[in-house]
Amino acid sequence: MKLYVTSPQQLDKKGINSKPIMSYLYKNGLVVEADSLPSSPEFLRQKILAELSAEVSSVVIIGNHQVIPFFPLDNPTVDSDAEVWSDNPYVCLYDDFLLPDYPISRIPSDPHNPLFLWDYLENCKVEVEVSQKVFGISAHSWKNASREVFSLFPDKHKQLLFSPPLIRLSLPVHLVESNYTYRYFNVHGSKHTHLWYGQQGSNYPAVLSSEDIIDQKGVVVISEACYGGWLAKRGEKTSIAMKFLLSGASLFLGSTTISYGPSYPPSEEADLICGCFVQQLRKQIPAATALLKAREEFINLTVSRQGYLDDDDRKSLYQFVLYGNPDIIVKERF
Amino acid sequence: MSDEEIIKKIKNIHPQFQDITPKIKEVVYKPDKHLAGKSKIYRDKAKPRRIKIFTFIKKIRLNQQIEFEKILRVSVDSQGNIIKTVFSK
Repeated sequence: MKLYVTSPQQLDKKGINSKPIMSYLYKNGLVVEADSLPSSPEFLRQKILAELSAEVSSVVIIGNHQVIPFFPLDNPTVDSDAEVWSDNPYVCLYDDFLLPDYPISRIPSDPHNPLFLWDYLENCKVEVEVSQKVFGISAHSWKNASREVFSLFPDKHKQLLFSPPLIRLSLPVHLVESNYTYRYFNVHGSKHTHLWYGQQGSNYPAVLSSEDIIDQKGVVVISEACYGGWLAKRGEKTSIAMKFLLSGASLFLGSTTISYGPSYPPSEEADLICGCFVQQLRKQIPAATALLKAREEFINLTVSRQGYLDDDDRKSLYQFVLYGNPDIIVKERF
Repeated sequence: MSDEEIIKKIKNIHPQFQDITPKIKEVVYKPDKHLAGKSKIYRDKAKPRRIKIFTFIKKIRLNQQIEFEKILRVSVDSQGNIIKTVFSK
C-alpha cells in the first residue's frame, strides 16, 4: 500500500484544487496530511515515520517544495550549497540518511499549471513500455564517463551526442518530440538558469532549454546535471525537469544541488547512482524500489573500491530525487 | 609531501585551475553503524581512512547574467598520492 504525504491547505493556497486530489489519495492508499502552515521538515518526518509499517510499500510526496519541503541536510562538500535538499530523511527510521528504509518518490506540483498534479495522478499508468531508442546528451569533456553509463541502456538504436559540437539550435527532432523512450543527460546545470550546458575546455554552449521540450509522453529521464531536479520557485518556463513532466514524461531522476562525477570511468558519484538506477529499472521493478536498490548498490560498489564513503559520495546519495509514480515498472519493447 | 607540493602537482594536471587557491579539508572517515547494519558488504569492507581533500572553485561566466561554479575535488592519501578526482556537473 502506498503512503501519500501532502498538505491540502498548501495545495489550495497555490491555486490547486485539493478536493479531487485528496479524494483520490484516500481511495488509493494511506495519507499523512501536513499542517496548514508550512511544517518543519523534522516534525513532518516524525509524522510520516509514525505511519510506516510492513504494509507500506512506498511513500509518495504530493506537491513541490512549497507544498511539502525537501528535507535540508548538512552539505558534506565544500561548495556554494548551503544545504543538500533531499527526500531521503522522510523514509529513514534512524538519523542516518544515506540509505532509506522505504522507497520514496515525489509527484511535484507546478505553480503555473494547477491541473498538472491531477492530470498526472489520473492518467499515470503503472506499466510504461518504452522503445529501445535511447537518446543521450553529454558534455564533450565527460564523453568517456558518459559512454560508461550509456552502455547500461538497451543496445538497439541508441545515440549519445556530445556538446559541443551539439548546441541548442542543432537539437535533433527526435529529442524534442519522441514518446516512450529513455533520455540520458550528463551536462552542466545551474540554479540561476533554465538551460543545461555542454562543455569542451572553456567553451560552455547551451544545449537544452525547457522551451525545447515538447512531446515526451511516457519518457523516462535520467539527468546528472547540477540542480537538474531542483524545482523550487521554478515553473514551466524555468525548469527542464518540470517541463519534461508537464510534457508527459513518466519518471525523472535528477539532483537538487551541485552534483559531481569523474571525467573517465569507472563511474562514481552522479554517474554511479544514475547507472545503478538504470540497471535496477531494467530489471522491471517499481521505480522507487529501483532507486532504493541503486543507492544500496552505489554504497556496496564504492566501499568495495575505496573502503569508505567520502563527502561527495554522501552528497550523491542525498541529492538525487525521483519524480513520478513510485510503482511504475518500465518494460522495454523489442 | 607538503600541501604546496600536492597543489603544484594538481595544478600541473589541471592547468585551468592554475590561478585558484584550494580549500583544504582533512577528514577521517569511520564506518557508519547504521549502514553496517543494512549492508553486509559495507560491514565487511568499510575501514577507517584519513584523507585530505583539495577543493578548487572557479567562477565561470556563461553570459552577463549567468555565472556558475566549476569545482574540482581531489582526494589525496597520507603519502600524497591522488586517489580520486571529480568535477562538478
